[in-house]
Amino acid sequence: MSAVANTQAAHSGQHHADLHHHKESFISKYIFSHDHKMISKQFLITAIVMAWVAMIMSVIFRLQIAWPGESFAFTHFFLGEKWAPGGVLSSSMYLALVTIHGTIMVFFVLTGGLSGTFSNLLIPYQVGARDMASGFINMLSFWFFLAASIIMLSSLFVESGPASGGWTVYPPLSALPQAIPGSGTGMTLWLFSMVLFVAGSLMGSLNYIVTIMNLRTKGMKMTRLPLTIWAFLLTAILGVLAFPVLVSAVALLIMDRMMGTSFYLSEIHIAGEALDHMGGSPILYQHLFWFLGHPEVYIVILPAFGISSEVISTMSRKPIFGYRAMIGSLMAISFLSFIVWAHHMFISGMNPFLGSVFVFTTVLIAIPSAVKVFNYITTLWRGNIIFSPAMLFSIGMVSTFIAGGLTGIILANSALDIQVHDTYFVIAHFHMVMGVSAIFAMFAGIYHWFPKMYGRMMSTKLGYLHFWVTFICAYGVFIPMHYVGLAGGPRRYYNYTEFPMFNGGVADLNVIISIFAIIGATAQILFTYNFFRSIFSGQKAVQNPWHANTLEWTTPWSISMATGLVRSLPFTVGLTITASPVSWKTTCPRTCPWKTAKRSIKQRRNLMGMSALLCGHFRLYPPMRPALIVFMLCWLPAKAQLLDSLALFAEQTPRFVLKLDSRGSFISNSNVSIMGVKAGLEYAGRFQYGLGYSFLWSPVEKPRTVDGVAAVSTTLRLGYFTPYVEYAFYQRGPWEARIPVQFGIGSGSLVYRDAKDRKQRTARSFLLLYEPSMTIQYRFLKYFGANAGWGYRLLLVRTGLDERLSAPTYVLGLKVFFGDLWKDLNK
Amino acid sequence: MTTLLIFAVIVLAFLVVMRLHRVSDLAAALRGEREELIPEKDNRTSGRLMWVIGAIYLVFFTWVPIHFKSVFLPPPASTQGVWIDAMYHFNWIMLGIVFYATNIALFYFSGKYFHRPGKKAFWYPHNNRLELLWTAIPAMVLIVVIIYGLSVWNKITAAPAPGTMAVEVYAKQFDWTIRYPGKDKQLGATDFRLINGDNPLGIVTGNSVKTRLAELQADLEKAEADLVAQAEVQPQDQLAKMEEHISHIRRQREGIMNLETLMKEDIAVNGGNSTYLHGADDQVTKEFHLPQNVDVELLIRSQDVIHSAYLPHMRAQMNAVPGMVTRIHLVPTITTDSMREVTNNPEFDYILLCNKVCGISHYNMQMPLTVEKPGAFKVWTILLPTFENRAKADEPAPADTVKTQVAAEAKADSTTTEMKQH
Repeated sequence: MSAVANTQAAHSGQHHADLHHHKESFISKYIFSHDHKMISKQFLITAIVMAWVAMIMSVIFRLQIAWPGESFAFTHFFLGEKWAPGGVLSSSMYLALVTIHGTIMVFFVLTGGLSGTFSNLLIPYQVGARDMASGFINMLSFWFFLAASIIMLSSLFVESGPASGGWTVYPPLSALPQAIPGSGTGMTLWLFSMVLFVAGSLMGSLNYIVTIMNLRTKGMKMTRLPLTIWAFLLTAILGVLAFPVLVSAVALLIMDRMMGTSFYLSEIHIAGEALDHMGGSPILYQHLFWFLGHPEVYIVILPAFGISSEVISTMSRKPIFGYRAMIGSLMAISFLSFIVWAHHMFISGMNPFLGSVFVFTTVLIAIPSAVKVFNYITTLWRGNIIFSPAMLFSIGMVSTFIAGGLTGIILANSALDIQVHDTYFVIAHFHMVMGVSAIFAMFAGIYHWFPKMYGRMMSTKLGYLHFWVTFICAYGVFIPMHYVGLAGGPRRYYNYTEFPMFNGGVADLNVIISIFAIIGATAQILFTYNFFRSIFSGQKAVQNPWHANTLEWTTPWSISMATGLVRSLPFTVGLTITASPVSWKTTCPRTCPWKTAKRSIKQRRNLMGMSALLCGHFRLYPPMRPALIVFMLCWLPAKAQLLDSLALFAEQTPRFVLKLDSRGSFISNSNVSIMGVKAGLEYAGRFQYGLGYSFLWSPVEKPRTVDGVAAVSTTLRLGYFTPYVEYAFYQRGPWEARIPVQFGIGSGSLVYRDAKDRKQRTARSFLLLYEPSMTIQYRFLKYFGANAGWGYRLLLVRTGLDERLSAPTYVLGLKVFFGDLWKDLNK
Repeated sequence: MTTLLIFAVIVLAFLVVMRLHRVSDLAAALRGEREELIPEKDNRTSGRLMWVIGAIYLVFFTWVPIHFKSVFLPPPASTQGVWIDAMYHFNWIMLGIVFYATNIALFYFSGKYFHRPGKKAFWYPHNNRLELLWTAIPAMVLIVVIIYGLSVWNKITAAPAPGTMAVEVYAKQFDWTIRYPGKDKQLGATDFRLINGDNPLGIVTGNSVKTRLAELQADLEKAEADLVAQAEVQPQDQLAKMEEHISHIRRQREGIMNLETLMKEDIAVNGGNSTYLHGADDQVTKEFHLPQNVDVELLIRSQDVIHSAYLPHMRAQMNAVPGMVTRIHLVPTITTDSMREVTNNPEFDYILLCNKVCGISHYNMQMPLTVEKPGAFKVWTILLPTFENRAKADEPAPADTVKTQVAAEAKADSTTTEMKQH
């Protein structure tokens, strides 16, 4: 049966391949690709590189913790004499390593790598869409991610060292370069890297949501979506809601660092000097950070749930037990994740009553998590389990999630948290529950969908070896770590030799942990080798190697669905903060010191001058530059998306349009109408451009002094050519909203009769008009449309007409669709 | 050299694994084996491994706490320590049951139901009754956990009775300073602008304000003279920096002058009760002593960045946040001496350590805590120099303070030995 299906699908796949066979250059195919498959591979390979960097860091600091003060050629090789004098890791670099390890693993590997890779790969495939809603934004999201990664890595080479206040970068430590060297340039790079990362991740998330909500193929109801898609959808929603809060926290921190504000700083005396900051609160930052930080944990683990659900169900040859309960628990977890953030702050000094509220909500998360675990186990029960490496990793993921989830109940209890807060118990807990679990699911995803990505198989034997070594080492590292924490061992300690209480058993445990960590890290060479070898020389895959019944396996590898209706973009992504330079310029008050700013442009002759022009008024010139960049980032995606949709429209055959239109308007307060005739081309019923001619229809008469003769009655004449563009940004049912924008280029004059009753013209002047507007149309009785709209006409040049031409315009009209009428009559 | 050897061994091992893999790969290709068709043998092995490794995992999990029993959760030495430990035991038992049950089910089922040719999986998409059951039972159990947890939390964080002894724990990079309230049993007001070498905590007294103002005046004059002298020599941006420094000193001075006015007004209104009059007899010290079985409220402050005052044996922890006063309320129950006997470790000390990353020497920001009988504690505190006296005594006769300290130590020792004999 499946063989038949395979051949059929292969056949149709070939057909598609022919259709899509157009040449792409190397750059457009592999680098600036709009293709979701290629973008997912880009995410994955970047994440593998980042994961290696972060893992080597962890080996370096584990060496230091287990054998403090000993010299290691390994450490010296990577850090050199400056950060590891004589092969001994320095204490400032130790803190930097734990910080960057955490940042890279949480954001770049488990957020960007996990959800970036699998959302991109699976969403279009599994919902049956041709590609993501916007390929261009998708590409941008990867390039922002890559830029963020590069900036983060470049901070390792800064003279004063990378950021080193822990991955949560709590101020004041992160705000004051006097407090720790890493809070200088390294911290600045960290912050900018995070802003870029968030911009990229928002673009990705919006795209995922739009694709899932709008581009599902026929019959793909929400209740038929695979659990992977549900997980990716909820992850994207969490990301969209939570990440902007991180940006605002980071923006305030940037201001505290650069502009002397006091959001987070108060009453600080450091390096022998009392600072001027008064009235801020470091706890504010913690609230803002954890408002992202906690949903972030679920941004990491939800895709892991999705992947393991899919793999466990496929490989035990059973439907997932309790599909609806699984969706319900995903939703419950997502909702609860927003009201539990302060459990990271039980002992931060906030009101203990607040703490008890968060205990309640936090412990509740254990209920949907327990439901998920029970459902996984029941799915395995009486299954027919095929142990592919992906299946092994998924089972491993359930096991580590149980271990990590249960210790979560301890930490959720504020009274118990007092003892283990910020100790190795916490480290063990979150590495188990979101680190190891998520990375196991990521491995499962890679082994499972590798045939779909590269058309080849990864080696199963190496996969087995990789799994068992990694699984044993993960427990070998993190089970003992709980006891280091229970003994009171604080995290982020460079060594414990100064404390007699940590010298006996705790030191032994640390040695055990480090040995397992080193073996586990080394075992990842197996995976990396297997991955890259299989890309080039793995066994060629059949179409549906795991006999799964999701849609991605119904096409041969590397061919997208193309079964869904090709619908154009259903709505414009709403990130239009139009703080573009142009609008700043027009809204800036006259008191703005333009002259100074212009002089600085002349002197500098570069972009900095431009931002000086923009910021001059606020006297905040250097620090405003980053703010401007942030604004530009928000502004870019909207424009980019527009271009993207236009490119999509341009692929279709245009339709000829001829129209007569009349616009109501005002000239010097009298109501007039302007008639026009236009001809143009329309693409996909959405985008139109063309040329027309408009002229003043109503008489505008006024007595004037002409050539020294007073009270001559003059009539206004206007006529101008109108190149125009029209874009329908909303279409649903009979409703449609359009933005017609036209320019007017022509001339105007005053006509009067002279003493001999001859027609004379005077005050001939050139006209340049700009008329943006917006219309809403309702279509009825098939051939008719009623529309109404409003807009504005701006005169861009000076004229001698002595009339106020800049005025509001309005349209009230009836439209007849002759084309459709003609078609139907000819049937 | 050894590391190089180890490295070489690892590289060789991987080369060997890769070669072996290549060989088996080629052999498999010859036999026509496919990666996705996992043979029954492999499925069976994986299933058995699930059992074996699962069992080893559970044994390891049980062995670590038994073997390292002496290490984790050191004996509790405060009333809240006892409550928290009881709660830990309750939670361990509850979570332990769930842990063993779910893990055993997971590994047992995975090992048992491996794929055999001709076998069919049991089609079982959902069972509402079952799902309701395992939503409701955890919910009920967790409600118990929450109620128990919150009752303990409320006991720990309850406001102390009025008149409870207050001790200030002051954090800065990278050490702790302790302040006792002195005779009047009240801690005086502080201001971070007053911090200097003699006044590490910025305690507000008439004298400290005057001294600091005089210091700032001197600084200001020096800075202004500098600016005039350097005006021709330094580049523009350097001069701007110097001007900024001058205005910074001015702002500091204004702040302190405001404080002075406030202080005068407060004293005029409240008379002897004014918080600004309690600072003079405060005792600032680098040693941390607490009395046994007495309610103590620790007021925690920080000078620069966030620190965390962590007393693992007391089961107490609270962040030290600049610009804020945070609190720990606690009753130490076991003296250091009896703890030394119990643990059979004459070196034993309770410890106060920093548990929030605060800078390069974070790992060594610690202070031993001595818990002693109330009598011994009283003797020890009486002999501590007060803030005013120390500030005065510092310059003329440092020898005196040393003498008093020596005497104090001698007395404290004798009292503790007396206590022991009793």
